[in-house]
Amino acid sequence: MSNAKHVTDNLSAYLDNRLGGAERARIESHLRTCSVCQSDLESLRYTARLLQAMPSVKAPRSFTLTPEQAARARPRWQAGWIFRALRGMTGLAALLLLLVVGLDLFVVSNARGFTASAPAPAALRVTTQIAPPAADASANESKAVTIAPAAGAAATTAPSRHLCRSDRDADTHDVRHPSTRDCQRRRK
Amino acid sequence: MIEAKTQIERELIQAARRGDLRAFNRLVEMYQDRVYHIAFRILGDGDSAADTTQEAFISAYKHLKDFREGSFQAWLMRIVTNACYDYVRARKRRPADSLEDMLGDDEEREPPDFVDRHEGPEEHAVRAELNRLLQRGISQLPDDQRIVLVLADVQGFSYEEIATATDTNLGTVKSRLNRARLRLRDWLLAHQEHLPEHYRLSSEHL
Repeated sequence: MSNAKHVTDNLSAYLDNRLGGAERARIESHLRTCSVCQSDLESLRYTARLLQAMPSVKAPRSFTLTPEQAARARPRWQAGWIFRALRGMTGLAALLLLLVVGLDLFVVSNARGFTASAPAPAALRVTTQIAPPAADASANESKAVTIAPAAGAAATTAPSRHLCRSDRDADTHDVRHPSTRDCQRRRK
Repeated sequence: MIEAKTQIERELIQAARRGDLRAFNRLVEMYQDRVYHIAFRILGDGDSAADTTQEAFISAYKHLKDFREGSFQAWLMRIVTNACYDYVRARKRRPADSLEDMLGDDEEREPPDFVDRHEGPEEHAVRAELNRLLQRGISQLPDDQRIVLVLADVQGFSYEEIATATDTNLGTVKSRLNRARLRLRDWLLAHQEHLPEHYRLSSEHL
């Protein structure tokens, strides 16, 4: 029997009483006739015993967290909702920006289509300087109004421009980059 | 008694999860010796063990929300084990600070605060010598085996607790522990001459 397969792989589980009945019986049967495995078992038992007798080591200091350490750790359940909210708002802001720019460009390209007299660079400058395309492109008035902030700004700046334009008897190119202050000065 | 302790622990965890730092720190005080001891035996020196223990508690505070139910100790041991793995990996990236170098010939690694009041100075010296040698033997084991061996034989955890702590299954725990003990046994045999005479693996063990 001693030349039967050694049971070295299972000796720790046997020592720790972690084998089922049948497996345990097989190991015990082998151990009765195999001096190699008997020797392994005893030396493993001894090694485990030495380890188990190792003394406990006490913590050399306290590891409690200071309020600063706790703040730095920023537990997820405290910081999480703020991050999620901020992330959500950032996403929303980006979406709104895209919407505004997209609509703006759409409006401008339509304006170019309808008013052939308006040169492209000038038209672009008008929109970015919060002036309403509505001032010239009357065909697109309804679309320009849908852009809330630009429309609001238009309400305050447009009349002075009209005055300015009528004063100076200017063509449409001049209208698109007037300085409001210049106009007001001239009106005085 | 155990039930009362568990109840207190549960209440502390609840309070800590609501952001009560004092409650969390009471948990730290309850577990810091155990956590430090594991880190010390796995890493082999006091400074590394202290750093890792602190990291482990910071990580526990950070992830307390993830602890659902079951054994808080097992959950905490998993965090400590991971912190030790991280530390060992970081140390391997700095070859100058390898484990062997750190242990080197320094004979004062074993901390002095474990004096058994029942043993005389001579016996104490012999045991301290034995523990130093054992710690060196543990330190030369591969990481996976070392961690399982420390949790099982030094800490006395069950196979189930070790499987949870190391995120493995019972079969893996069983085979790693067996290989770790065999390897440590061989190492002790190879260093017999350094073992105190009384503790040598004599023919009665073999």
